[in-house]
Amino acid sequence: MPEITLSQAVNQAIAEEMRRDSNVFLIGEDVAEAGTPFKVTSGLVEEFSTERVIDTPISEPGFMGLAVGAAMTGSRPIVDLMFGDFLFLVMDQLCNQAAKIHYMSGGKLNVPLVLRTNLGATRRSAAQHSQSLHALVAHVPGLKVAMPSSAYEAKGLLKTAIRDNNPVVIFEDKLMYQDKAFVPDEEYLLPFGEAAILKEGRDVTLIGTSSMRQVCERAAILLDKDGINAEVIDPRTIVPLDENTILNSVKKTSRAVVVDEGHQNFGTTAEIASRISEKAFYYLDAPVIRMGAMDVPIPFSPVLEDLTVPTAERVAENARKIVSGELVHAL
Amino acid sequence: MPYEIKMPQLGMNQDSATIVTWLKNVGEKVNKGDPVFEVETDKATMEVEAQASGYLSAIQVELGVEVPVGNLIATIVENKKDILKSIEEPNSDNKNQSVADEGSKIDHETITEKSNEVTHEIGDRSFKIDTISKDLSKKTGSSPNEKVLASPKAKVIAVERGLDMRRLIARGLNEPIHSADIMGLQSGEQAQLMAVVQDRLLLELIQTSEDIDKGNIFASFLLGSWHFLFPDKFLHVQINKLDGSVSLFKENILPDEGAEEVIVSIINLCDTRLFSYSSGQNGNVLSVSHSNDTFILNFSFNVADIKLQEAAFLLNELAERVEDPIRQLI
Repeated sequence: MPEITLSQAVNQAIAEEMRRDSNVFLIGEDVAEAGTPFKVTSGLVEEFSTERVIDTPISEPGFMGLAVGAAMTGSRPIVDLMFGDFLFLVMDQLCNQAAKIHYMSGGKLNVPLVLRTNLGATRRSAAQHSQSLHALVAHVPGLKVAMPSSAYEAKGLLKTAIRDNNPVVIFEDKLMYQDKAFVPDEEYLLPFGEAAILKEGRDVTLIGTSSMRQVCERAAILLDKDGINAEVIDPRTIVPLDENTILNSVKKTSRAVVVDEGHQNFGTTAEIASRISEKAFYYLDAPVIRMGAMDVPIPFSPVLEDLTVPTAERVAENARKIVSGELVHAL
Repeated sequence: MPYEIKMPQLGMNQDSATIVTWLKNVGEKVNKGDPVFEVETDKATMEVEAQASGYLSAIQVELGVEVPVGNLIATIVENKKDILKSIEEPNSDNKNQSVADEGSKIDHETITEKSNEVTHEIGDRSFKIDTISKDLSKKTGSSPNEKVLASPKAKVIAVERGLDMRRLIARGLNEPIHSADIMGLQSGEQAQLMAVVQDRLLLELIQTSEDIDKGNIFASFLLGSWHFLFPDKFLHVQINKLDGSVSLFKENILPDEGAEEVIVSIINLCDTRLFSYSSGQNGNVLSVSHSNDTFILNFSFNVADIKLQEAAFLLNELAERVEDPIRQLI
């Protein structure tokens, strides 16, 4: 099994699906010769030509609308949105059009579109290029939201997304593009709505999306040293969300810390935590703890920026508090 | 005829309004066009003007109460002597209670003040009663209305096992209660066994070494007997001291994950006049006392943890080891 970077995994997934299905094409800013600022799509234009790897002007609403139309009429576009922060520019095309066309047409039209974008702070990119906005689209019915946590997930989930007949937004963590993971030689797809249990444990469940999975895994190692046995779960897709895996784990451990890089207020952590509180209430031995990004614009100052996102140390600290039975009202 | 002020209709679909402020007092002179009171509808607040001149009289509604459109609010009377104090029927029979007469007005006010005092006293008294009952509940440590701070899981376990959390708190369990605090507590029956053993051989053994602690010897014998009889079950022996301190016996073996575990506390009463020691809680306690050349082993245990027959074998085995310490070595 070769070890490849997340960016190579995404590249492979796109190339494999473009070879498999001639309706698949890639569109976005700097996707062709430049291969995107993160070098994710490098080399694709050589194989598939500018017919299927299309550079656009700086016009997110324009090319997003174009892709929605193409998807309605039989193509399978993969839209590259350079930064997750630019989602605000394509909200109408994505949320009002793509998400609702299947419903509004009485099921006659499909929008098999993939919007690839990114999330994640601590890249010193300041407030307008550091947001994690997945909760924003997860709120809109009609959109699926995948959050790969390593190269393995990135490839398997993207291939599933491209084959899905509904609009899928896939968020890659821009700090993980160079992180390596083992990926099988043979073709594989990862199903949506199936969470992964990365480490089994009995004392507390740590649920981490995207790169917060790694944060949770590191926290679990720290907790092990204190004799606390943590279970780590990666939901992989937040829409659909694999509730059963999460609930079964919390029923076993009686405690949960939900970690996500989006802002904490009204965020992914709130959604997951409330489902646990509603559906596993009588199994809980401690309040469910949410840990998201601080509710502030992400600062440019590295010192401040690092403080805004959850770290393994802080996850472990909160887990220790609830396992020790400390009276916790809010952390 | 007094002029009747009625709740006006101030909007198309408005069918009631609330008076929020009186801009004139009862008995005050009112000129036509003067704002008399302020009403609040679901949309706005506005002043309502007098449609006649005279003196404001006989207020019918209280502030803050919603009044349907068209209902009588107050009257405006032409003569001072016709002024009616407040929420009273504005019929002519009540004119005797007119406050135009200064003397009767004072009386009226005094009465109101007195009645206020009474209410106040009653209020004070009821407050005092309240405080006393609160103090009482603090002393008894349990009031049925007091909420127990416990996790949902702990509450479920308590219900399943028939444990009363308020009693547990009274016995010294700290809030918030988590499942681990009550997992070990069983509602099962307590049972008791006693054995009397010759002390000669063990005392001889102890005299050979001055460092040996009797509590540790009994703990070691207990563990030995347990593993001899129940090799599959894990026993944790903890040593209790009379000062309340508890320590885990150091020779304990760590159990496999998921294996059945039992905790037994040992308390050494040999150098005291005490004969037995049982906390009354649902634990397993072995107390060891000494008198008239014998050791007395008193074992109080929970039958949910250790069955009566098992406990009988255990105590018998322990007694034999105490009587003949060589058995421990075999």
